[in-house]
Amino acid sequence: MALLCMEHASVRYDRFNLDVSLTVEEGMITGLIGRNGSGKTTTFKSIVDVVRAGGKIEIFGKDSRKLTEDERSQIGIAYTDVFFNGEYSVPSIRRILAAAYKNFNGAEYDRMTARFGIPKKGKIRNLSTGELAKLRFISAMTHDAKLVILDEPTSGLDVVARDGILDELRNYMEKHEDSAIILSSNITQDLEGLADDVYMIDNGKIVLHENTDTITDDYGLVKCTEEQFEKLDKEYVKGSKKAPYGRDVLVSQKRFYLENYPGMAVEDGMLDHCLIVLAENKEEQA
Amino acid sequence: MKGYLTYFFEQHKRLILGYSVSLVIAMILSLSLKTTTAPVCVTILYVSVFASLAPIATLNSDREIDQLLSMPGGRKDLVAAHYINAVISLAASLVFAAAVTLLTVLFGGKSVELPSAPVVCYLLSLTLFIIAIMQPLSMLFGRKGLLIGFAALLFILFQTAVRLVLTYGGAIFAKYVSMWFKGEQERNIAEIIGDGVRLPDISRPVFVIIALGAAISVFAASFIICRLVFARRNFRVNKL
Repeated sequence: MALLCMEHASVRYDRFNLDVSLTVEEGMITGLIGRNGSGKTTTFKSIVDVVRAGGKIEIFGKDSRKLTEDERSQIGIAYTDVFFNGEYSVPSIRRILAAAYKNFNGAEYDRMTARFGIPKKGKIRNLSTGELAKLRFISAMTHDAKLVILDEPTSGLDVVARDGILDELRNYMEKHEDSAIILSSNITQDLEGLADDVYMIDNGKIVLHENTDTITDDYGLVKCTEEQFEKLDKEYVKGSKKAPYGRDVLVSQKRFYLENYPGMAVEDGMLDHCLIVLAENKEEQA
Repeated sequence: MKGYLTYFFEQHKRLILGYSVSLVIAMILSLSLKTTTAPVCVTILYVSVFASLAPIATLNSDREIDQLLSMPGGRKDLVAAHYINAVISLAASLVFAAAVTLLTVLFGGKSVELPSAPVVCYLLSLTLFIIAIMQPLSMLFGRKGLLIGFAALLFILFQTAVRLVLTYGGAIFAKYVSMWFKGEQERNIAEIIGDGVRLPDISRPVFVIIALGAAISVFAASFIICRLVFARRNFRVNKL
């Protein structure tokens, strides 16, 4: 069952148009990758109606704008740089969340704040960047949400804290099998080990949707000269970009090229390859 | 809705601190000046400041609004809670103003003589200046240097106009309040206010109407100013 379905969800700004179609299935972790300014945060904001979007956005099978307060309380969301007023205290955030979300789990909140070392007192504005990121994450994860939306939850965190966040996400999905998580990250390695499928957004449009295992198992990066590229079978080519030695070519069937082009180097596929090649390929075409 | 109201009420804790500070200031002024007029005027205007700024102080950035809009209630509940908050803030401020006035009159100055006019005018014009200038400018520009520059300029401009208004308006208000509590409402106003100032006699109902009208006007004006400021900052809640 799809917990989130977006069909041509569109937002228009002066110099940027968003037109996104994606689906987040129950029990899945979905990744959203893209360059800065590609539309990730706008996509997330349009889901919860912070940014008004055209097209169709359905959450739990219902028009997102027609959700009741109880239904909206089953959504957990954390942005990169959006949070409550910095003058509020850490304990007051707990009270606000408890009042706002009917399924707020105080014990879980206390456990996570203790795990991530969030100070028990003091104002939000006095927290460090990492502490604030962790508190935003905690605020989205402690009310048993069915749909969790996380905008770069590991941004600004050290390796230990990042690992802790990823660990919490895995545990969450184990405990909440009927839930789903959609998250964006500029650290694509995080998504490779976590997400079931991945969407790539560029300039407001989804340019790639693939199962994460497919990318890591089947995708590859063929390194070749311009002459070799001209002769290359383009059937499985997703895109290419210039390189010092010729071209980096993103392919969706690396075995085909390993078998048929033994003289070319073929690297295993990674999300970074997709991001770099597809984004630059588009720039070259433009 | 409950989440939004909790959010706003959490903010009010700061206001209560502000009210308490006002109360202390009033008492100190009252005891040192040996009069009730100045502290009453000052504290009433102080709480007006807090009251009028309370609803908007909680929503002072687009990012914060985004966070609130992402919570369960959504736009309609946020707007509703915003206005409920504004009304409660006004009501609370009036209660505090009454309390401050009562305490100051009962335990403060022993005389109802008007202190020297400049003292009252300076204190009140400073307060009004804060109401009118500080918050909108800080929201618009957010730079203390600019704020101080504007402050110095506008303070001088304000002072002249404010002095005229407050010599009559503020003094009448404070005197009437103090007379009310001391049971001296029958006294001749002109006699109390002092030499050189002749004021018309005003009945208690008229005074109440004027006082309420003035309080609501101050509140409404600051609210409108701040809404205009918000509109310039793409205050999305207002776009509904």
